[in-house]
Amino acid sequence: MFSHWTGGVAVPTSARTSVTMNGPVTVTANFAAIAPPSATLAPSALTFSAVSGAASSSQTATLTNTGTALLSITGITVTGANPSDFSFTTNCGTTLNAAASCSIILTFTPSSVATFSANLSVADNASGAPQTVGLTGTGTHQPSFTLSADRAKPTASYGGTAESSITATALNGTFPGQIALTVSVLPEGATASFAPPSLAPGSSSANSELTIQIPNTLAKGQGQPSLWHLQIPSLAFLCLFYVPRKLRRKALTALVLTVVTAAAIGGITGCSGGFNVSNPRTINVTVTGTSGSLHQTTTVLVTVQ
Amino acid sequence: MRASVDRSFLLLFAFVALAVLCAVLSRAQKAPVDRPHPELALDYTFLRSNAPPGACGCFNLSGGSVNAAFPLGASRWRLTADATFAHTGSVANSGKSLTLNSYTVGPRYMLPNGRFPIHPFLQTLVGVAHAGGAISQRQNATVMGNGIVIAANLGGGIDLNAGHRFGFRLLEVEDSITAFNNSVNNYQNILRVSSGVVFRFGR
Repeated sequence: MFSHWTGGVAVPTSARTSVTMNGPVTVTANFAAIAPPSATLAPSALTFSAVSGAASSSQTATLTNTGTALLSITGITVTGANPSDFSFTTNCGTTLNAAASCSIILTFTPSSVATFSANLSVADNASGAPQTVGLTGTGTHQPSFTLSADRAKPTASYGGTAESSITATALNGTFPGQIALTVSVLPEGATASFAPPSLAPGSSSANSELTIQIPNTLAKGQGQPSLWHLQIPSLAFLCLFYVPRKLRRKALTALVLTVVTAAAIGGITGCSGGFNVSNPRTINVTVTGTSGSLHQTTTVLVTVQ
Repeated sequence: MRASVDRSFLLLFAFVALAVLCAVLSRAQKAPVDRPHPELALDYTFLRSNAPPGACGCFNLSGGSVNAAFPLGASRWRLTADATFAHTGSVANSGKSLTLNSYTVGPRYMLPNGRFPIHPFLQTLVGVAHAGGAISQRQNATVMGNGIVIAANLGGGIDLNAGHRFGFRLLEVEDSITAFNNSVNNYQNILRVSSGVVFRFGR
């Protein structure tokens, strides 16, 4: 008969049996009480931030058996208001030896731009079970950038340059990438350059100087083909028509001379003359910033006069 | 400066070439010619040019010209003077006007006409041109300043006699070359077409 046993887990440490003839049998057993399993789950709270629809960087909660007995783990779950926005992996088995620990790696994947909360719960046989970790996550917009043009309506002369400053500003936090700058198709002969050619706005903004070189002339699209070079030969044929028949052979010589003259004139001068209209013309230059799949644009209106 | 030199060379070359052409025709013709008379022609003139340089944003100018020709002896040569005035209200849809005046002189050679009452001729005239109107703000002269540049008219025409004192200029077609500044090659090649009446003077 055991007296004064108050329960709990105990292990025998020694036993002695004393037998007296015709007397009582006395059994003396010594037990050492075993402390119940104790476990901690740390930290007590984790905070996440991630772009909506994208996984956050992972964070780790550590389960430690702080007792001296084997910890029996019966379940690890995410509970609370938004359990579906958190996920975990773990190397914890169903038991955890005394003084041992295991990890629970958590990831936050917000379904929208909002704040989410949940709890990581570990059910075990430790006192105070279940152990929990409060989980809070914020779904954010994807970091992006905006493009804007300072001096968005520069003026330039034919043969001159137009300059504008292109600014890339980070949006929704720090923009991690490089932004390559390009321009839309320019009129024939016009060129554009950026200094620097790409921007890294980081958490604020960055600038690049856009220089557009305007050619001496700007074509107005497809024009009618010039027939100027036919003038002199046509005139020569006209003359031939009015030359008397008997003189036409020699007139033909004159015709050849005329054609050669026309060819010489054309060869020397070309047919590229004309008046400079000097009519102010607006060139719509679209500046595009590209970083990965992100594209942002801004417009620079160059007035050429 | 280089463009001006090239243009002067062009004009000289064209003048010499057409002079040679007329000389060839002159040697070819042995038939006697009608007694020449001084004449004055009043023409309607149509000009067709382009803007900007190198592109056929083509536009037309309309105006008139006064043309006087004086015989050089009994030959087929005439000393010709021409004054032309033409205007357009909008150059190549720019809304800018252009008034183009030219004053040129030079030789005219009357081609043989057989027994027909028509008188074809070739002529090479050189002189000056002036550009006015809104477009002229950019037409800075490269030769003589103040919007006046060198000019040449190369071409010919056909006159039809309608009497001893009177005739018609059926058609006169010329390549009118001017050297207004256009920021590219300082060169204009203008088609010039004229038609009008011709008055003859003297016995």
